[in-house]
Amino acid sequence: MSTAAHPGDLLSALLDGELTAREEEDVRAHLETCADCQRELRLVTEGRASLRDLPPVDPPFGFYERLVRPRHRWARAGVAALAAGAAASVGIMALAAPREATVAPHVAQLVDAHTASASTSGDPISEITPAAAPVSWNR
Amino acid sequence: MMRKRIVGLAVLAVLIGPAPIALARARTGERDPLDDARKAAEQTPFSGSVTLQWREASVLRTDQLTVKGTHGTLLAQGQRSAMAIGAERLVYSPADGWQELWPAGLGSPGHPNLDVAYDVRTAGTDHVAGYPTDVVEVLKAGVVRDRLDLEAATKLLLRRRQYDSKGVLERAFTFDQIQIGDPAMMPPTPPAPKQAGPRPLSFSAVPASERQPSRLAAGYERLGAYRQGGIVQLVYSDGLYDLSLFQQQGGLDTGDLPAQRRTTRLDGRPAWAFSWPGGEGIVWTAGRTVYTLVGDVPADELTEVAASVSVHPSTSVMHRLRQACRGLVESFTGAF
Repeated sequence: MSTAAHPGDLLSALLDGELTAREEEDVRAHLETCADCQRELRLVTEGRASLRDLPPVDPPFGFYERLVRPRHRWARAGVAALAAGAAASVGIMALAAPREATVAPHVAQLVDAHTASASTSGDPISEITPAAAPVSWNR
Repeated sequence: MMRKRIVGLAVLAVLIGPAPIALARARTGERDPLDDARKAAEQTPFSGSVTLQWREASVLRTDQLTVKGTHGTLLAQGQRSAMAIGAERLVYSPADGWQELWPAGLGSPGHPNLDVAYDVRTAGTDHVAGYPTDVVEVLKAGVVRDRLDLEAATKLLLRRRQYDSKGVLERAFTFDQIQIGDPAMMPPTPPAPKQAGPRPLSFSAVPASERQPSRLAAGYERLGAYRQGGIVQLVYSDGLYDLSLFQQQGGLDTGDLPAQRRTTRLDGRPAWAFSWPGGEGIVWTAGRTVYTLVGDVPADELTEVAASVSVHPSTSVMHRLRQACRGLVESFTGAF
């Protein structure tokens, strides 16, 4: 068995017809004297034949979409980054805003204040009497 | 030469200026029936029971109270007591004791002459609680807005019916039973109230953000400004009805608005209207201010006047943007 200068990958190239005439001559000369390379060439040839005999297979649903997903993923990442930036801006603006005091008008007191002032200028009986009426503002 | 012209114009202005005022005074020769009623209430002893009616949305509600008066002191008693001693106004409830609503020294804001905005006419006679009355109608734009029954001898107001601009009854005050002339037993003068009443405020001292024009829609004139507990009350009147405008700085918390409020819109803004036996109210917000307008006016007129109130929007676009951002964040996170 010759161990010097095993052609290796050149065996596959020989089958594919990709070697120059000189390379092919050298590889074939080696094969005549090397049992290992003869066995390897036979295995590669059989493997290729087996692959060629396999039936055609349809790609599963969504295969092509998954193939192109990487581009959409980047787009999504970009949109997400923009959204995060906008949310951060809103958050910063919100934090920068002083908390506005809330007002709950005490309607009963305001009505009393009005009743008092109005009753001094109009008819006092008809103006002051409603102030004694039973009004439950939050019933 | 120029100086002489200026002096001449000034003299002319002084001569012409008072003329409209003199004309206006000449028109007020007619007696104001509400002035007559007020004087009668201050001078005539009486005691009786009163039915109040008021419209709350489309429902006419009713309540009864007792009222008595003598020598300038009035006492109305229902769920709580309301008292007038001269110009002073007080209320009493078991929970809060006596509270002063209006101190005696504050006087009255007064009101414009009734005949500036209204026509007044006598409308025959009637009887209320067994007493003969002279009926007086007060009209605006040809529609009766107020019908007053004044007791024929004393001019005490025995019945008052108020109508809206379509002639629909809004509110009524009626003596069901009354004794006139018998001095009523009045409670002793109440002790010093727990809470002091408002203080007068010159209009120039009203914060700039709360200033309002001297006239609002429907002929309401500004009569005075008062402050109590940090809240400014601007008082307006058209001669018949009175209005009070309160403005508070901040965002509106609707949680404490009356339970019987009605949601409405005012110039495209949400607003909340409510009624009570003595009148109508409306609350709305614009910019950083919460407005509360209350008055013994019909609901449709109150809305018209409210729409004429000057609103003070936020002056800064940046402030509004920041507040919008804060509102957005708080809608997700809650207040922080």
